[in-house]
Amino acid sequence: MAEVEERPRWWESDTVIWCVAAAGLLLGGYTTTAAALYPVSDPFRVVMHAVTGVLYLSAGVVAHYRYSANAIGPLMLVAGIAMFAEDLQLSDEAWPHTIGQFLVAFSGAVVTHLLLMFPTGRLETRVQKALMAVAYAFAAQMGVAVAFFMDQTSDDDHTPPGMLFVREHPVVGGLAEDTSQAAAVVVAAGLVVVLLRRWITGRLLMRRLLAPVILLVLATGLVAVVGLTLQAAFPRDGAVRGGLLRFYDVMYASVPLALLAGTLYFYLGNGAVNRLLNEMRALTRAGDVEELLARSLRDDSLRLVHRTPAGLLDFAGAPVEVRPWQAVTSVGGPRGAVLVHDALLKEDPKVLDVVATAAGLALTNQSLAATVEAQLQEVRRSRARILAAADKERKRIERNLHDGAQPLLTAAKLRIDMARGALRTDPDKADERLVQALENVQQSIEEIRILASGLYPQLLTTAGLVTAVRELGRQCPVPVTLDLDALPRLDPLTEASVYFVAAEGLTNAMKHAHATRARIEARVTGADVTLSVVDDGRGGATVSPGSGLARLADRVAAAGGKLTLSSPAGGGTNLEAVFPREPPAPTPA
Amino acid sequence: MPRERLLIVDDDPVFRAVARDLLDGERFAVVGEAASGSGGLDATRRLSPDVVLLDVQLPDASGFDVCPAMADSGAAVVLTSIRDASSYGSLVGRSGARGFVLKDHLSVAALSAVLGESGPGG
Repeated sequence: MAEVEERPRWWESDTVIWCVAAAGLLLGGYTTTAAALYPVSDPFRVVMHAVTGVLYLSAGVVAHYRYSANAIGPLMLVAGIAMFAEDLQLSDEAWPHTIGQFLVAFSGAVVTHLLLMFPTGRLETRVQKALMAVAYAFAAQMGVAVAFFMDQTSDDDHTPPGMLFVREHPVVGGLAEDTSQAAAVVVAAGLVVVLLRRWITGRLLMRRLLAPVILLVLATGLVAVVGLTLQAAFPRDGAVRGGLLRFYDVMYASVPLALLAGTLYFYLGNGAVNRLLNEMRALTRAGDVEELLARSLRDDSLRLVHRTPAGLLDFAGAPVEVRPWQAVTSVGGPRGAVLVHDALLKEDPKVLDVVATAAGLALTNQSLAATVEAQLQEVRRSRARILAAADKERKRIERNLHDGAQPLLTAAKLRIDMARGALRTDPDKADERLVQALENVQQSIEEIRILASGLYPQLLTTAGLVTAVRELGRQCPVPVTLDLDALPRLDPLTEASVYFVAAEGLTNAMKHAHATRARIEARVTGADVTLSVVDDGRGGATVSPGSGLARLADRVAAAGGKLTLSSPAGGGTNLEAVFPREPPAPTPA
Repeated sequence: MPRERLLIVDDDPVFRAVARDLLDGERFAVVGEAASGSGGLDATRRLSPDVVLLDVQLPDASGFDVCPAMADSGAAVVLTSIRDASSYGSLVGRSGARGFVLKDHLSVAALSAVLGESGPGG
């Protein structure tokens, strides 16, 4: 199973998230009012700014509820607040104005941070951390420069001078603006490289996640280049600059949507997981489970395989290779089943854990169902064989009675009739007929005796199992050692089966194996009784269909037992039957 | 020579009737019949027969089960069955009975042959 995050961090709390979002909205109300009252504001940009801030706040809350352990959600809230905080400098109150001056470039740094962290919510490399540090450092530097030396808004009558404003300092201000712009170019370029690299090294899942963000960043970059070129060509045309700024605003407003889309796409909500579990219940093949998991987790590379000494094999037996960007998650279940999947899925450990467990249960169910089905089929087949054998036996008895005893008795009856008729008139002839009838009757008795003796071992009924098996040993021409002391009383069906196992084993030892010694042993282990017949003959016995051994195996199975034959060529034969001590069902008399 | 006192133990009334008809005569006097193992033991104690003709298959026990007790009481037990003796392996030999007669071979002569000329107890 995938490991689940241990302790939630403070920013994962619902309360914290809602408090921050509410504070952001209050701040937004204040700054939007301030921006609207600012004399030279562009109403389009005021609205866009407010919309962007609210989008960040909303997207942050939604992302938090989809997957609270990812820092993208809380950081989007921070970005929303930063958006509003920028407009504080438009306030006509001195302190808000001053704070706004400090935070004038802060939102750009936060958005950079967000894009660097997307989609895992972590900064993975030193380059990413450095880019983030540069972005924040130059945002802070710009804030200091503006607050102390560049009060751009102080030339109107609306805003008060900044509380920290020293004096307009063109050198410092110019330097700060130049370095900030240079830093912005470096950070933007770095960001593009990071995102593109993530795109190139990532697999399908990562690319789908990144697609909206990458498109947005590339489109912004492209328009910026075109726009700056146009601006350089027509420096006096305010329409170019205004249009460009409005385009930036739209792009900026789209970033939280792109980030939210990626987050919602990647992190499965409870609804999706429930649907997946529901669908999984109905599946009857491992291949279907694999297909459902791949589709639901949106990982085309996902494979459901099992771990064997020969490596990972799929359920058709073909080897499966784990690629470097993939991870392996155990699902439990039968045959050491594991999921091979895009390592990115480990970013959502809870869902991976639930899904893996469900897959394990599905496989276990399927395996149990297959076992039951196989057993059921074998029971059906053996029942048919037992019926066929019983029918064959009935036919034999019927034919035997018809061909043997019955005609003899018929002849005897007719002769007795004739004898009665001749009794007074011809006593000699009557006597002759009676002698013949007597012979017929005697023959029919012999016929029935032979027929009956082959049907069921009389000794088993008369003297019990142990005596009957001992008698088998005595009658066998091969010397037989018996160890039957452990043999308990069993239900009659099982006792008969034990007897037939002993009889078949000795018959094999004597007729086919040419053994010189045999041994019959009974053992009790736990709830099982085992009877084994071992000989030192030539081995090589097999259970061929329709043979005595095959019928015996059916008989043993019908009594709830299991017959095993070990008979390597030249290595003797061990015929062993294990029976449950408790009878499997009420037995017929 | 006094007739030997014979007890017939068999659950089949037809066989008991035929056996009585066949055996009761100069050599044997049928003194009783029983239809079960326990009935046979009871009758043996009560009647002290010289000879018991004992069917192997009885409803409550096998002839081999009750034979030793009957033999101990001094009776010469002769087992009988519709099945031949080989069906019972060595049990006939180890039962304490004087011998075995197939039912369809039963006659005074056959029974006498099994008991021997020495008579009961000899």
